[in-house]
Amino acid sequence: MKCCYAWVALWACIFTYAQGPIFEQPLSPRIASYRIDVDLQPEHRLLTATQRILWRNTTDHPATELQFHLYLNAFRNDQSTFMKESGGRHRGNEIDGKKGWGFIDLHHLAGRLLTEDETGPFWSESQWPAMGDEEWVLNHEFIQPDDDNKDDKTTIRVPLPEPVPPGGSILLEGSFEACLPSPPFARTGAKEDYFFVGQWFPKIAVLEADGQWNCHQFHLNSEFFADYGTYDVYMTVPSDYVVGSTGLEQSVSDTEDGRKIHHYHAEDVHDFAWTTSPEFVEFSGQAQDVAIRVLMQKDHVGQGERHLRAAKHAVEYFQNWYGDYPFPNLTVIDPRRGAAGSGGMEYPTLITAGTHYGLPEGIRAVELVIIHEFGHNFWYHLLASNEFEETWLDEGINSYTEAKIMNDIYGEHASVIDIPGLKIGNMVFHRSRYVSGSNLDPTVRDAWTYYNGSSYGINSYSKPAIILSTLEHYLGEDKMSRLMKTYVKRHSFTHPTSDDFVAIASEIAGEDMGWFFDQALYTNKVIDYSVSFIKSVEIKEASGFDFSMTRDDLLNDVELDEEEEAADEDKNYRSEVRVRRLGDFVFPVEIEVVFDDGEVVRESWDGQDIWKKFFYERQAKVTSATVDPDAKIPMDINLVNNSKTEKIARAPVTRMTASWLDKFQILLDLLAL
Amino acid sequence: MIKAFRLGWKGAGRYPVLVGIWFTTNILFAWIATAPFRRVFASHAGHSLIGDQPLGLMSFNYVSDLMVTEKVAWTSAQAGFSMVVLLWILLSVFMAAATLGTLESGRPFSWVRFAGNGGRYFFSFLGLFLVMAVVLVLMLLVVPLFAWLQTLILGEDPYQNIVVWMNVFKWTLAFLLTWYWKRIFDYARIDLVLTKKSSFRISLKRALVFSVRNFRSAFGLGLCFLGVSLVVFTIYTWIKIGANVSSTMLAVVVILVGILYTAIRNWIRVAQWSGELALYYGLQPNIREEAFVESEIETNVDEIFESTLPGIDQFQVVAAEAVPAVAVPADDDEVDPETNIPLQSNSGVDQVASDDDDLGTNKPEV
Repeated sequence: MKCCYAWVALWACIFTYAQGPIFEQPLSPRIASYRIDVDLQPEHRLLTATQRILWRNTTDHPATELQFHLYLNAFRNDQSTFMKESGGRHRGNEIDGKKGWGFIDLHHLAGRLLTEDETGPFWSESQWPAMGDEEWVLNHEFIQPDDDNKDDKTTIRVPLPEPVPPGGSILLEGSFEACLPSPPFARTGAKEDYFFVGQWFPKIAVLEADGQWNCHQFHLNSEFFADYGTYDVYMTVPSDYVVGSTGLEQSVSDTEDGRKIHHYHAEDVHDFAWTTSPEFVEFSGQAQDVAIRVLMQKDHVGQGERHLRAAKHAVEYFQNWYGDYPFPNLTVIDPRRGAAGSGGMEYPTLITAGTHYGLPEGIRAVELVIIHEFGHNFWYHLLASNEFEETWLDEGINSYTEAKIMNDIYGEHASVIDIPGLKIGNMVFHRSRYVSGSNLDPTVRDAWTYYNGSSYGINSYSKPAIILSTLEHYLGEDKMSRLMKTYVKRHSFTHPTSDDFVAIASEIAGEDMGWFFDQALYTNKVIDYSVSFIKSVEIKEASGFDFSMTRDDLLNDVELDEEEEAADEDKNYRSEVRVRRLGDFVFPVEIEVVFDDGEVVRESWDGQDIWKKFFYERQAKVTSATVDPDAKIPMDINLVNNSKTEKIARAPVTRMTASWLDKFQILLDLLAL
Repeated sequence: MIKAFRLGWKGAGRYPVLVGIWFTTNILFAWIATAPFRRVFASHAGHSLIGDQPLGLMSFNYVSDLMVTEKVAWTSAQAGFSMVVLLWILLSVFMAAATLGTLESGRPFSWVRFAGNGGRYFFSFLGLFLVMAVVLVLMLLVVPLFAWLQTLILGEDPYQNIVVWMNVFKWTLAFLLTWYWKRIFDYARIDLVLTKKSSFRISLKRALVFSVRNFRSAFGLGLCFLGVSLVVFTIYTWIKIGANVSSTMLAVVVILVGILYTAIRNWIRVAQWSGELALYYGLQPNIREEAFVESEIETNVDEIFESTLPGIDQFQVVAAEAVPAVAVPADDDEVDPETNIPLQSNSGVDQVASDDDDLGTNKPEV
């Protein structure tokens, strides 16, 4: 029997080498690469693992210590920063306060500096140098850089006996044990025989160009930041379990105790997540050059094709509109019932969706989530911005692109919900959130420091979507498209910042766009223009004294000539339109003035002052005035005051009344028992 | 049951003014209830062109903008609406009493009698209404009860498809229970009117017994009217959604269709009460005597009957061995000999008797 296993292992190795690298040349700097052997014990939700890390110092500063994230310790007890901030709830999901806690313990860590001739490039972990005999045993201590909460164990520092010099590399080897929270909570965890394994291994933080580690604790309102690398992960699971993972499957081999080892290899990614369950039902398809694999739950099998269709849309739209998705595959996971906490999340080449049995096609939650999560493979994966500090670069840009794609596929007014009697468009949905609280925080700030969770959500998702939509109207669709494509092309596989985005926007716009982004990203200013006053007054002949009268005329009581009433068509009017900037965000705006002879006049206003008056003298009265008549500024927080009519406008009142009267009639009929 | 259904419509046809009263008050109160919102709309959007946007987009933007910028006005409008709804509930209790009293009398409609009946039964009806409301809420406990049973049978972790269908079953059952409770409530009110306000507790008890003993007929009759209501509602919804209020003209169409729907709904309401009255009395023609024996009220029963139930005198109750006892009218024309006005629906209870019904079961021969 052992001989048999040996043969299997040998063939697995041959197969592994036959697979070769995914990319001929590295797409990313490959700073932090991992090899992990992990053994899942389903009954205890326990992961026992050994780990090797190859880390390169690409800065100009020596690294005297290393810092790591131990994300699963956020669920160790109710004293962690995450649990204190969340009160044990995340997106409506709760951890089982009795038996559901999770943890990660780093048992052992050793390392050695690599010599100059050992620096690679390493296509796969099998080419890595051996640890050798000169290893250091490394100790670690917990740190709390954000809030000094000594009970928080989600970040550690590892002092090094010798610094890693600029350009140098260090090889680390260690072992750890982790327990997954239950039910899945804050993107990771286990429910019965379903395991979604995310943020599960000791993950080295990012050493920034200034030689400082960027290593934040795990917060309720925050996501992640990491360096690119390669991953070789060997997952040992029960033999009947199906595995879905970041990267490509290289081999499946048997263990002596009848389980299976799944080896996945990934290149140029900055995170690695996987899932396993015996209940997955697989669907597969192809979108352009990307192989799509969907792992559905048994009770959602009827929606497998729907998931596949949404994933195809996502891949095709993003590739057509924003640039190449260089990876050969995408895996979509449908979380198990009772495991919604692992839904709606993105990892490189792996995303999780979320549905419910019987979900109508008109409620496009599946499509929305899949398109959104795949979008992260551009804005978080290809462009690894710092989600701790500039969430809008990922979630915000992604919300904007998600809305654009959803609107293009399903129509602007019904892209999210299209059921009889109720239609909601994606951008309208974002705008309603934006309006509900856009002025509590600037868009850019550390994710955990927003006023509250709602403000984090608005400033990370909806507000940036509305900002970019406004920018698109300002620049025009072509320039906006070029801006997005340039951003992807220029900054793929780097850590772009807001400044990078603004620089490209300025370059494409042909003007310094700082005036716009400074207000939109770094202040809580809002746009609110209104038409405050319109009036037309007939211009009559001048009355009173004029210079033709003499003192004698006055003394002799000479009567002034009476003014003759002009015919209607000869009457002249002096019209006045006053426009106000009620918000403190300055943005150029157009004003449309309509006269009763049908003439329409367009005016421009730079919005620098807090009000502006327009005067007209003509044989027509003004009937209405509208600021932003083409609705180019979705950032305007109040659209009701954007126009003013001379006579009362019945249409909105009538239509709203019709709608409400209709509902109230039925309600009262029901209440009359 | 089918004939009671037919008689119900006939009864509503004889009292179009009742339908008119319900319809008018329903529309009027809906209009009043929208007034606070209309006022907010008018004062904040009356001079805005926002209505030129498609309603789907506009209403979403408009309402969210309005709720954020005009919180106080919005809250006031909601408070005003709540007051109107409360008033409507009280008025509907009064009107239900007046309507059933009128239907039961069989006499031509008169405003004085209508108002008199409303006043006479108002507090009894209100008592019944409160009891009904409490029981209605208690009945919703069937849902958590079924959820508990569901967990007991299927465990903590059933597949979602099973859960969904269990939920459909659970809510259907809860709906049917509450809906049938509403029918019992109707019969209790009918009993109250028939027995001249003996006691709402006793009437409720008798209605319960009736609804259990004559479950098939009572349930079936209710189902017939429910079916009609659902068909009307489906057609109305279909038209409304089709119109989509995308222009002011279509908004007017929606208002008109809504008004027509309300008229039909109130017609159905009066017809249903009339049909239920016919069924209740048809299956228990001697309910009054039983009621007075039960409540031991020493009153001249004949006097009361004479004064308030002229139509009833014209029935003769027949019975034969193994044949249900039924009430039949004295003449086929069903016309009040004094006024020459067609009699109320329950005067045609002979038509209620059929092989499908349990008419006259255990009824004493009069």
